[in-house]
Amino acid sequence: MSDRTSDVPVQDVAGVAVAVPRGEIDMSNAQAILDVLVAAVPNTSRGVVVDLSRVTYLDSAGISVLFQLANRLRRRGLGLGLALPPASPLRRVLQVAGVDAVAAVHPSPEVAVESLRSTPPGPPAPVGPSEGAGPVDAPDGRG
Amino acid sequence: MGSELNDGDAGMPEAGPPGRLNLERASERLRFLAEAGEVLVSSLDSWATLDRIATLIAGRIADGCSIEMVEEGGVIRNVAVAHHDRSKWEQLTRIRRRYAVSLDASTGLGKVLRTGEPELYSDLTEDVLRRIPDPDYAMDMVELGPRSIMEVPLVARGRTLGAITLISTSSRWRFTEDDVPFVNSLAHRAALAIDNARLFEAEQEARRAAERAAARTRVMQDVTAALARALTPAEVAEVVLHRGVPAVGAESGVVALLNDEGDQLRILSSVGYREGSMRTWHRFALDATVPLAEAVRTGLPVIATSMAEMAERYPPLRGSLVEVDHALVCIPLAVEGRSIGGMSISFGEDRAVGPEDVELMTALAGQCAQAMERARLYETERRIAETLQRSLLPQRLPAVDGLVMQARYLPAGRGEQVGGDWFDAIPLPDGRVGLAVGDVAGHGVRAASVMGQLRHALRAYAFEGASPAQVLDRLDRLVKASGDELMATVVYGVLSLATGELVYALAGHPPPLLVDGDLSVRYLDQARSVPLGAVDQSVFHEATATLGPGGTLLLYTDGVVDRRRVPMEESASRLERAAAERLDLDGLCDRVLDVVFDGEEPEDDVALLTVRLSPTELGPVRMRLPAEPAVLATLRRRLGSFLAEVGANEAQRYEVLVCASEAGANAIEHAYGLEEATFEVQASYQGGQVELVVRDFGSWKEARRPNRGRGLVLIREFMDSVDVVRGSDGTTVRMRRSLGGSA
Repeated sequence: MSDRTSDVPVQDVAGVAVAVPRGEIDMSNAQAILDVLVAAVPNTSRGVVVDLSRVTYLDSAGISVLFQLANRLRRRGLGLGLALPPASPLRRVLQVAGVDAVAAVHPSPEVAVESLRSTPPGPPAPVGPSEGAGPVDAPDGRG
Repeated sequence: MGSELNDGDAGMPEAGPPGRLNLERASERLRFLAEAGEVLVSSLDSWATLDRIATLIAGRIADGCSIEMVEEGGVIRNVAVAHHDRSKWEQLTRIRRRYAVSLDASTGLGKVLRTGEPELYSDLTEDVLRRIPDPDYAMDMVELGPRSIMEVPLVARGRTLGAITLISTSSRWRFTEDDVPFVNSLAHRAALAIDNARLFEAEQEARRAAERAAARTRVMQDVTAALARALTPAEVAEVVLHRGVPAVGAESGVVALLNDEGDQLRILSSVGYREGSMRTWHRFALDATVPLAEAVRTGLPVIATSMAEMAERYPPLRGSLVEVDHALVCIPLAVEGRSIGGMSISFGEDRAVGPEDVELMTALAGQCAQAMERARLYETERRIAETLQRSLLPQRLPAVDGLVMQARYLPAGRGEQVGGDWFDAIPLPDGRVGLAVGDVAGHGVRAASVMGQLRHALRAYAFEGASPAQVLDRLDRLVKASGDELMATVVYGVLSLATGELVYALAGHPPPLLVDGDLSVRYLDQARSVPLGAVDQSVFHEATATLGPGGTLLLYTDGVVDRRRVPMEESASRLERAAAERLDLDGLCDRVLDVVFDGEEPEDDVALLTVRLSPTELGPVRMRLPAEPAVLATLRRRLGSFLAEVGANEAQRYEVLVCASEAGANAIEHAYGLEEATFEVQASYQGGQVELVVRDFGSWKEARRPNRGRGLVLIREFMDSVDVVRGSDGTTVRMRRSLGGSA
């Protein structure tokens, strides 16, 4: 499906890898997008910005991609920034899921790149928090 | 003929006996005149002409020649010397440069220039020359050794411009009375040529001056025209700098304004400076020792012609002078004698600054100051009007069960002030809903405040239960009673949610557009009357139309259809085309404005109110879907249409779709490993609430997806209630969300 592509263009902007996923992200393509993102970040990058302005749908599957990406980058001592227009309906989803704990949300990719560049890279974290940090309480969960 | 050579003091004995010029044959003379004529007409440069005449004479009709001209103020100046012998040429040149000729002299060159009559000294001897009173002059003349001299005036249009002196320093030529007419004739031609050349030069100079003046006038006209389009102080400054700086051949410039306290100058705009180089001088005190502050303080232009001078006079500038700051002119900006700031223009090299430059810059500064003041007033007025307008429009449309509404208000684009357009929706005591769109004629604060009064009056009349025609009638009387020359157009309608019946009345207003469920469009134009306040005796009519299920009603102001550059039919057809698209109201409003304005800014204010009946009940709609991830997109698509139909707005739709997808993802997971498993989704709408039921038929499994918990967090946040029932034959998730306040 054209609007659920896992093809994610990645561009280098001043040493920061800027990825621009498009269309819808849900459980059908989330893993593929994560793989593409992880593979597309060069070792020389100072950080990664995911520009979500062209993503039309994103739920917990997409949120999980962002958390996992943030963790993997952190182990390499790299930061993650997100770009999202303030009026986007995705914003509430990111907020509720607590994405801002691992990646700052900026109004534009330019601002996000600038912010990453002005933050000195931290030392690689020896162990990241477990992926999917968040309430583990499924609708049908046993505990 | 005079008896003395040159100065009155220079005693000169009588010339010797008459002799013959060596050009005896008339044909030779004619040939020479023809040749001289060619020289004379070949150039319009008077200096070059004189030089060539002297050269032509020397060696052809005399050994040597010098030409003297009378300049302004009676100064006599040697302009050309020629001699076929180089050493004699040098001697003659020295004599002509060293010894001043006086117009008061009784003999010689001074006399020729004064009287306009030729002088002839046919036979000069060393004896005669030694008797010249000035001993130095006498010695130099003896050294030169002239044997015969003829001096003829250059006369044109009755004025003696100068004189040509023919000198014989050999036995080859002896000038006599017989030669005078020929040399006179040559001199006359030369004088005419010189006069012509001078006239031409004067004309050229006048034309250059006129061109400079015209160029300046053009700059001023250009600036004036551009300033008329500059609305803000910053735009004014940019216009003046971008056009004024190149016009005076300068490199850079700044415009700075005084702050409200009048003690600081703030740079509003600059041109020609490298980015960042102005940062230090972004703002500075009025009493700072810098040229711009000095100009503003004194109210007089400040001129510096070199970087060294600037560094000397203004020590604080020393560190920050850049390559563009050499010569500089600072002009104060004043309005009615009150200082508002200053303008500074800098040149890239040290240079004198002429009065013409200062005059042009002063004119620019005058324009700039006037436009700046106008822009400031305009900005203030526009800000007040916009604030007022916003405060008078409904902050949000009321939430009405069974009705979806969306409104847009677009202020006019550049060059216009805010107007008096408004929209309103009023839930009435009898359960019906009043819908109004109006437009007060005029712009600015007054139109906006009148709009506020009319809007509130309309609400009051409507709430009392007045019918549309009665409401307009009362508004009309209110407008007339105000005593002002006011005009306003209004459409007011009362819509019954139960039947879709709309009773409406128009007061000079564009007719609402009704789009039926089958996407056919028609205008509601049956109840037309004149605008409010237009005529003494107004009668308002009513008509009835029906808004059916799936139909859309569009009320709008004439800014949508009455446009300067687009014919009314074209605007109307764009409106009809866009209105007949199958979109939810939010999207429809955007679509209408996009299509109607096609990327252009509206020239007038625009208000648009769209209304659609939403079913008070819809569904349940049931879907049975294969339990595989790719199906979630389909689920969202189908559920999205359902939500739009019941009037959910964009944010509500997004949030409900996330919840449906999360529950769907769980169901798909439960079916993992099962052959041809399916799950069921059921959506219904009742009492303003959407209910979603997602049921799977799989067995519960350990959470494998790390984000499963996060999904539930989202569901709990976005839904009003969530209920999970797990049984042996599957899991059912029931979720509810209210769409109240969906407008």
